[in-house]
Amino acid sequence: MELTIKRPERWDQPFGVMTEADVDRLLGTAPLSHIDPGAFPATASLRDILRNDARIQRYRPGDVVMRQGDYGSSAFLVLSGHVRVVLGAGLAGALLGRLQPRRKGLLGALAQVWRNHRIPEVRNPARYTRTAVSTRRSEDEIRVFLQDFPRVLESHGTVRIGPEEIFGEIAALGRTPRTATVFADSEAELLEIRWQGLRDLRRRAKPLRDHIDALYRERSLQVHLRETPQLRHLEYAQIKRLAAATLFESYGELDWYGSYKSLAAQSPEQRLEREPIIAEEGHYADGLILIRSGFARVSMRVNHGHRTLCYLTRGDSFGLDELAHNWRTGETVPLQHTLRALGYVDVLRVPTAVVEELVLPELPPSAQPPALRARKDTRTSEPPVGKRPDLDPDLLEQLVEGRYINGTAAMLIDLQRCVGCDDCVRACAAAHDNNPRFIRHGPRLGRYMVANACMHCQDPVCMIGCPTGAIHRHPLGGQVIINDDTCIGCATCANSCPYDNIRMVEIRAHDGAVILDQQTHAPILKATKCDLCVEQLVTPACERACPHDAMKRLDMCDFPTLTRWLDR
Amino acid sequence: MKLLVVRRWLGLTLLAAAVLALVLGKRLYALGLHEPAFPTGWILVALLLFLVLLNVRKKLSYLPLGTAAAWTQAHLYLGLLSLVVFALHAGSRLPSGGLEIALATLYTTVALSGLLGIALERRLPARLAQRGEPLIYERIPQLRARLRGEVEQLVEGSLTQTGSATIAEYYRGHLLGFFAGPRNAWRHLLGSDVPDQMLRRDVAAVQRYMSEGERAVMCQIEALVLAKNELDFHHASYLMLKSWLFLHIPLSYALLPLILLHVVLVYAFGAGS
Repeated sequence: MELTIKRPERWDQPFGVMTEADVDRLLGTAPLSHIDPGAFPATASLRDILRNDARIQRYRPGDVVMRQGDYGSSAFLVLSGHVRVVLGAGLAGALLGRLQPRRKGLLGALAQVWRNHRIPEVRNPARYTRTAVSTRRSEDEIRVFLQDFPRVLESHGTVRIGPEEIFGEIAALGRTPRTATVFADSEAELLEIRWQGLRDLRRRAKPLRDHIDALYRERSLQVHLRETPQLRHLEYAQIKRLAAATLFESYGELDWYGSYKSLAAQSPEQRLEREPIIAEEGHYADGLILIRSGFARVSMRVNHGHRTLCYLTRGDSFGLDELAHNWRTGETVPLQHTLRALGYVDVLRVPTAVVEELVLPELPPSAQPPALRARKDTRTSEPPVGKRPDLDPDLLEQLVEGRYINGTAAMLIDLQRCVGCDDCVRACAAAHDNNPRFIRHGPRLGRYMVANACMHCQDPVCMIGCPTGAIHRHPLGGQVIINDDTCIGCATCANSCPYDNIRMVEIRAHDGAVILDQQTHAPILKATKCDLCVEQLVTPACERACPHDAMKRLDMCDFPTLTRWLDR
Repeated sequence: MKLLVVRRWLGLTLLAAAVLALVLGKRLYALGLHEPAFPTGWILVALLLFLVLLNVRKKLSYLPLGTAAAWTQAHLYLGLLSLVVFALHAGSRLPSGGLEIALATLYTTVALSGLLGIALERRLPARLAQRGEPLIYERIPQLRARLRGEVEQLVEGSLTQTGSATIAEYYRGHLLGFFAGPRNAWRHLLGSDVPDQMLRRDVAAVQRYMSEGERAVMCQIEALVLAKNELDFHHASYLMLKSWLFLHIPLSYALLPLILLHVVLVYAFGAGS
């Protein structure tokens, strides 16, 4: 028996509703009118991109367009009206719907003994009317607006942005937090372009590419290069020259979390095929590759498959061993490993000639990569990978395939030590008004279990699309937290989390009654998850409560700590 | 050397040093013609009070009182030390009198249940980790009910599918009770594979006289039977890991008023009054 359907295509789900008249108008508006439509292939024409990957959004004065610290996957072009970018430290967290977490004192912590509710998920509904954030419905979107925005203008430095100007593109393409808050200064019409369209526009439209690249070079490239361990010794002038020669490349899909679960059902070979190759084993080493954001897998061919050696993330580099070897010996040893994009990765490629001229001669002896060792097979050598974690190969493969490497506080449980006492769950509940914020259950990786607890991801896809900014990073510790006061229960975050670590709960009044929506009488929902006990005196409660040392919250990119714990 | 091994050696070394110090201390104290039962008794009281505090620490997980793991380690080694102190305190004579007998019996039961707990917590998690996916104990009845539902569906289906009541009769006679609740708990705890072998043998025996269609259904039932057997293993192990505490903790608390009474009586009527 067979069932036939139309093959799913890229634009089956357009970003918004765009009419032909809208697209005609956009094509006549600068800077889109300066783009040569002939540079686009027929399968993804400029017109198609604008029709399917963009939407026109209308804002009223005071409406927040984007918040500092948010993760977004779209950029904006001002079509009419003006918006303002808040400069400096930005707006107070409360105005942006952020939680103002305050660590409890000793008495506050102790008071939980009698203050914690016995009924689950108790809230005080009066809290929701006192929030500094105001929301309104606009078409099918929720808009957050600043109630007293003239005062914001008086008390904060701002820059006005008008028609034909683009903003938000670097954060959208680089999956980095928004660096500033932007709000509408007048009635404004903005074209919002999602990252897929933006990527194509950048690739095909030279003026746009030059504009984005120039902004990145100007704002963050030099800082990134200076932070790279192998380049720290370079002078300012050398860094500047390096920045000028650096190429920007992006691989994979920003919305990788959409296909995460379907990929999990595929075989390792199929999954590997889906990972775009950044640099391939056996090919000429054409430059030093620096990971700007995202994750990449380093693998080497073994028989008919590929063995994962390690994974790289922001700040890591690839290819220096071969470049240094070739420069020292005059040989032309090809790349010894393959580098693949895991999900989405942004890389910087410093061409070989520039590395040989600027980087290698200045590299201090302590930073020189060791010589490549001869390998038994036909290829030349097996270089040590600088960041190779000393992990069990199976565990490493599973960590990479499951993308648990994304976690900065993943909850690992050693099943050979865990007695199932649930002291961790009880401690978590005690620290959260008697509501546990994780489930002691989850995928098993050998003798370890990755429990269903928020991993506080390096790439927090849950933060994309929150209409009120309720889910955000803690300003100091960087933990991903939810402001219960401004969460509207839309479940965008819970649906986006690939690891199912966010739960929607019905909330109750002090007497246990379920709190209902006045209009629909449906229960009010709130998103809940682990907050790493951000308000507690000692953290995290779960780890501290484990009597058998069976659990640890681990940053999966902190290899020394990870391997030390695994190899206890 | 691995961190946990170092920790174990360090704990054992400290324990040995403490035991040595106590034995020597008792002798020196006795040489001074003092009654060593008083200091050993107070040391024992202090140790037992500290041991009971572990449960209080667990309840106050949000206070900066050190990690539960550190407390557990201290609980374990000081618990072992308390055995030595108890022996030094009680001496070689058997307890006499109702209170002394009750005290000694209660302490011995608490200590033995603690030793049993150590053994269980060292042994069972590793065995559980080797056998299938980790389960949440509270969900086991649900999983059992699901398996039972699945097997009953297969049995009902077999009536129409094969036109024979053999499987249904076999289910009623042999498997109905098996799927109704946990089975073979002690055998599972003792690490015996007899339940597994018996189930396989039973199924193989009945399959011999079945048609091709019945055998296919029976194969599916066998898979569910083995899954239920695994569930029983998990149930027995988790139950044991939880239930020893129901003996250890209440008896520990029950020990406290008896100790108080013992101290009062010793000071009221003994040599120390």
